[in-house]
Amino acid sequence: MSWVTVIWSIGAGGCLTLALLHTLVWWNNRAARANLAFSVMAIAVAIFAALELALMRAQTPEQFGAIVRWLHVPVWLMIASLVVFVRLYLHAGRWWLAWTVIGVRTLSLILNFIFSPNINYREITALKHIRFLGESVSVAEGVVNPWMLVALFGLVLIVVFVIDATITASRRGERRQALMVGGSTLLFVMLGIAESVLIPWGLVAMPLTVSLFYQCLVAAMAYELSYDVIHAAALAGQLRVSEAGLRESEEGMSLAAAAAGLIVWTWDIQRDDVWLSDKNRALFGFSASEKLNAQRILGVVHPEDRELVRQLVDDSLTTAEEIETQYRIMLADGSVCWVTRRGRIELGSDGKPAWERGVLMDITERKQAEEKFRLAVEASPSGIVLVNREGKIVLVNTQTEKLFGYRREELIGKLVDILVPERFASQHPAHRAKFVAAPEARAMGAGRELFARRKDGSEFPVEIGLNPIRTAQGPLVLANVVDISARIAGEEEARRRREQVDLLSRVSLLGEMTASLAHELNQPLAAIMNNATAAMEYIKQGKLDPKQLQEILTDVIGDSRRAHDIMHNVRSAIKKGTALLGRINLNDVVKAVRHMVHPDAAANFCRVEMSLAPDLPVIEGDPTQLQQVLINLVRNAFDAMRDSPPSRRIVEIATNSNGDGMISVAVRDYGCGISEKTQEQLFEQFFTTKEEGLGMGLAIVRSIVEAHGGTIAAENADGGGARFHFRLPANEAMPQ
Amino acid sequence: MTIPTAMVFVIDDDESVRKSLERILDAAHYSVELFKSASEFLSRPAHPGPSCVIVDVQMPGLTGIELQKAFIQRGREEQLVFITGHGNIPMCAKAMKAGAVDFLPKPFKYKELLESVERALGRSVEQGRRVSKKKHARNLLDRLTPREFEVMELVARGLLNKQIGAELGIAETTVKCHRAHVMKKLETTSVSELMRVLQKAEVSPRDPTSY
Repeated sequence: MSWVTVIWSIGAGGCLTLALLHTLVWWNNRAARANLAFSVMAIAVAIFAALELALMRAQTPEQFGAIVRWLHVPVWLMIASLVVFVRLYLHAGRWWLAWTVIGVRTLSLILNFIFSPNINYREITALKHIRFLGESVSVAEGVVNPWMLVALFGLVLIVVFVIDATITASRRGERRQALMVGGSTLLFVMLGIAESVLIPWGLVAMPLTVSLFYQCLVAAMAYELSYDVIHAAALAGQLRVSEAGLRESEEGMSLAAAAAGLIVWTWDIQRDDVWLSDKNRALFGFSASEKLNAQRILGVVHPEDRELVRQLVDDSLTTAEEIETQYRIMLADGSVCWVTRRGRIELGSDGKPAWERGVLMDITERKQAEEKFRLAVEASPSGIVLVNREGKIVLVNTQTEKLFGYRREELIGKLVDILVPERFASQHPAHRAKFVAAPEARAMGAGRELFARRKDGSEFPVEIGLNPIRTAQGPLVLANVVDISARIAGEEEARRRREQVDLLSRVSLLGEMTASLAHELNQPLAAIMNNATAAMEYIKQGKLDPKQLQEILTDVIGDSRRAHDIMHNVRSAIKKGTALLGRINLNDVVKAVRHMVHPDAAANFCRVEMSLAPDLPVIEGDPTQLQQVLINLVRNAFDAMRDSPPSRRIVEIATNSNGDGMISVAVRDYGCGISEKTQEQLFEQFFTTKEEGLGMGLAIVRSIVEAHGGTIAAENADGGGARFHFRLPANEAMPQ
Repeated sequence: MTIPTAMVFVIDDDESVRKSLERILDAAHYSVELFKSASEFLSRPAHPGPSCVIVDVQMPGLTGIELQKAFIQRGREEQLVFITGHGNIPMCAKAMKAGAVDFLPKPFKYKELLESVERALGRSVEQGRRVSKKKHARNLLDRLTPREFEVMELVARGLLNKQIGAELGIAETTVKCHRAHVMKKLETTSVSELMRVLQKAEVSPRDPTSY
């Protein structure tokens, strides 16, 4: 049993095994180039060992020389791969030094093949057989080739390179790797150098065993690499744990984000790859496997907003600033959502934008609320002016523009005082300050008549409601401006009409009363006249006695007093008035009346409906008197329906042309109707069914209708309620 | 004016008017009778002599106009003078058409009233005369037998005795005999006198059924 054979064979076999192992490692992970370098080195060491074994068995000096020469090939490979391995494994060492080592060793390899027999020996004179590990091995005797120094220089350079790499690595904190790789390399390479120097020069008599050192080096490095494997396994275990944790926290994050209506995204800018959670992908209709890029994402932005978003994103890439913008996106279900996008750009090591991470937040509800607010403000029939604490206008609506004649942009930011007439403008800031100090919803300038100033300086009467609003931007005052000039004019007109009707009712009262008044008054007057005449006659005939005269005078006085009392009672009720005649369309009268009784109708929860005959012939008459007729009838209808359910409180006014030269107007209600008892006396004076009634209304109505040459009648209508209808001759009338 | 049997009736619901009318008519020497209402007057027997009714148009219950209607319906000819506190043209026209003597608005002048009363009484006298003549003529006509009446009618129509005989289917001599009786009974001597009697009796010979 030869120990030399056993040791060298085992060493070479171990090296090959390790080489195979690490070649497989490299094969599965091409990034593991250090493992490849290691494999190459291990193979070279195995070949080196085999050649060394052959050297010890060399029979002739020529054979020995040839083996040494070929020995340099695996050595070269071994050294080159060692340098590469150290560089790759430690990520340290200067490349130029590495290349120098390889260059020098290549040079020595070339020289080795130039010289005969090799670079170590100029000539081998003889072979000596010595005992080594209990065995006889061959050792050369000869002249040392001085060019061997080149090879040695290469080895020294390795030492320098490794020292440098080791220092760099250990400074980086990788002490273990540095010590293991650098230390073992230094130790075994230096041992190799020593042997390479001592043996050829014949300073020690022993065979070449350098491959042993390198085998040890391979073992040390294998240990280091296996340490890496063990470490990697540990890391993988840790990674699994931390991955689980990460997944958990990621899930938690997505849940939280989803709950907050957030869509979390990440954009790898350089690879143009967008990450979205599967759930969010589904939201936009992206499949889980689809590769998303910026263009694809832009596709779900609402077409109207797309250009804006593209521009903003481009800008943010150049400025690398955080951006926040709002736009619409289209979801897979076809709905459109308002989102706010917030993203932060991270720069890569090259200083260019590498990542952008951010969120999309669903703000549809807020947008809708804003839109509703905007629509409400715009749709408001009154002018709306929003003013801040300083009195500056923050917001106005279209109606405000119309009312004041300013364009929106002319008002925003201006002091609200410009809308106040100049004569009040000086006091206005004080009023404003008072309101801001004690804000409460109230009408502005309570009890005063308010005026507003248009752009052209003209003024108009207004009513202004003030409401304090609290906002994130501080307290604001919402002013509601209503132009009341039309209302004032309307009130004036209504007042004028009321007065007219009022006067007319007195006039009609007079007209109606003339009959009874004349009758009442003429009775005593006739009596007085008769009595006086009789007395005169008696005197003429000379047969008047004082007693008879006294009787006559007593009667005269009584009748005079009676006449006086009648006049006194009537005088207060009547003032003055004249009827105005004109050609009028009864439809117009009906419409006007409907307008005039509107407040009453509302107060009584009644509805007034009209059914007007088209092409109604005109009549001659007094519109105001006829209005009064209708007002009376409609008001009676309201009163009659006091106990009816509100749904039945309808007054129908209908006009009709009967074709017989008469025009009829009917007022129908759904009230209590007319009892048989009241039917007969309905139109008589001083007859009333109302507690507070005077019993003059229908008497006046009849009086006016008759004055216009018409007739009036009342009846109970089918389906309940009463119908009053009057007929007037078309285009002829004889009003009193 | 001085017909002693003449009566003036006053119907007015107003007492002082009524009383003053009584005085003024008394001063003018009329016999006056007062009534509070039209119905009160209607219940009084008709006055045989000339009379005048002064009546207020507006009265509770029966009005003046309605009273006038009632007279016409009963065939009673009364001379009515309407007085009114407040009259109007249609009312007046209606009353006058129905035969009222006058329509006086209160207060009226003494002279106007007396003229109206006088005119009413005049008409009443005239009417009284006409009525008595009619009564006399009708009494004469009542004396005729039915056959004599028939003959008289045909005579009045101007038919000859021969024609009358043919019409009635009797002999001409018989006609002559009836004719003589008629003339005698009616106290007439000629056909023209006969015609006058018929006129006074207000009987039309053309219409034998009217009597």
